[in-house]
Amino acid sequence: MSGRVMRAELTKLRSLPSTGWSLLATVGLTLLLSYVVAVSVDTSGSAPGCAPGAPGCGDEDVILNGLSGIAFGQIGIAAFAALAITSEYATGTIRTTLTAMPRRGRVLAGKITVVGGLCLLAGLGAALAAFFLSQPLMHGNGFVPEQGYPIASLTDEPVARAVIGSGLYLALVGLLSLGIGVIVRHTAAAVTTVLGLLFVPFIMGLVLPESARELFQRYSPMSAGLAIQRTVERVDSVPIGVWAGLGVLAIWAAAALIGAFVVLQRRDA
Amino acid sequence: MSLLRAEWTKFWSVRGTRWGIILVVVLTVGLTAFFAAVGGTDATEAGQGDDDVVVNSLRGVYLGQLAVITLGAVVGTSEYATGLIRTTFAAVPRRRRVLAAKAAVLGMAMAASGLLASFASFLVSQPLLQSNGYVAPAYPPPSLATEPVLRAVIGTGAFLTLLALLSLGVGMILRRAGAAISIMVALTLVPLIAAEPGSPLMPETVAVWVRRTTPIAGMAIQQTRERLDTAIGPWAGLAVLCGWTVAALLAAGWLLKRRDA
Repeated sequence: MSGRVMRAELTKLRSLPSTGWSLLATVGLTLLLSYVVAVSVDTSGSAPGCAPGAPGCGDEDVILNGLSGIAFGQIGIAAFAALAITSEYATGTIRTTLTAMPRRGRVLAGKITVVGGLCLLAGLGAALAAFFLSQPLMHGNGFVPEQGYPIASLTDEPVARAVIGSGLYLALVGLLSLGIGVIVRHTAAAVTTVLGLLFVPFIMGLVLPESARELFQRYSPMSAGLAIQRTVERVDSVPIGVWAGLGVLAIWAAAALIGAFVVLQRRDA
Repeated sequence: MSLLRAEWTKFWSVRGTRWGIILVVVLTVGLTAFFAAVGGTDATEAGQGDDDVVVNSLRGVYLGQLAVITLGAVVGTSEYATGLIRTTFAAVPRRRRVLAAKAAVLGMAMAASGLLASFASFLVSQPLLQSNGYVAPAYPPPSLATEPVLRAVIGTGAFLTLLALLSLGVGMILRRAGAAISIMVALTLVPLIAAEPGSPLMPETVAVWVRRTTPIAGMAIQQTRERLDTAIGPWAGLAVLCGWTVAALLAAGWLLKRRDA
């Protein structure tokens, strides 16, 4: 893929008013929910068989709690990535684009690179900001080394993996949304489909009885993908490995993009 | 009257309206039936158990509301996407009447499909719940002829209608479907998840206030028994959603008058 295709995609994105707003919303919404969670969790939860408050007994996942805003911020990412393609269909620019670059696969590859890259940047920014905002707040809330919560450092492997993984999570959500946007070509339909695909199986994973819950937690893009934020194994942890969970989301995103590639080649614009 | 007819015509000629209406019913009934089919009961021989079987037979609104939100946002924003709004305002310079007519048409269509969705959900899921152990003495079969049950089922239709009107208001304020849907999901599905009873994300004291003050308070209209996790009464909850809807429509009306189209 030539640099010209990517530059064209970047120019189109920059000139879209929704780009700035939705990426700003991604960071803002992430920080908002992370803040609410960080100030409201307390150390009362403890591991089974432990006296509450005894040193080393807490089983709260301070990293996961601090990054929980990502689940809110993904709404901004989903809107951004869907609009990156549906806005071209809304205005008709897509016909100009495909006239200038008749090899449609390249257009899609250019969009994947630029949209994925921007989502990754925004995601990493949001995750880092949420981490640095939430950790001191929770520290002040009683999550201190004497209670079994050592100060988290970005140089620790699980912490770095959770923070960088949150950025990767948002990048994959962006690619999923881009793929669905190409397939349905309509902003409202695309945003609703993506958010439905993310949130509804996630809710079902929360409210269903034990037997059916596991299936939804393992294979739904959101609960599986967010497993990458886990640094403490708890009884209520999503039953999938941290990287395997992100892999499930990657498969969803890849499936959407393959579908997008096929329909883009076959359909009239 | 001719204004209503104009909005009626536009409502049905927008691509996706028909699908939206059908999806509200299919998604709500489908998810309710699924929940009812896989759900188990906590009741024992002694007759304990505090599940609200009426709530359990209307749970599909989790998914149905997504279609409702989209429908409201599309009705509020599609004219801005095509530029038709300028023709509309040239024909009817009293802009707030246009908003009122849109709200009336959307409200009627939504009330019809919302009620269809809630009654169908209830009727489909009751036998499923009973075969899953929701039986007397802990769970006497609820009857539509009793006040709380009928209120919950009709109230679910009202909940969906108010949510659609809120989405219409947000759509007319933002004038962009993507933004309106995103905001609406942030106001409904996200509190539903983050403040779910027993959610690890926030302590119950905070979660209760989220369930009381966000638009999802309206779902309280489905409650037919007091539980430990009850956050707000049925009518008070619906009133909270009403407040959101009225505020959004008033803001939309005010902006319509002030802004260039």
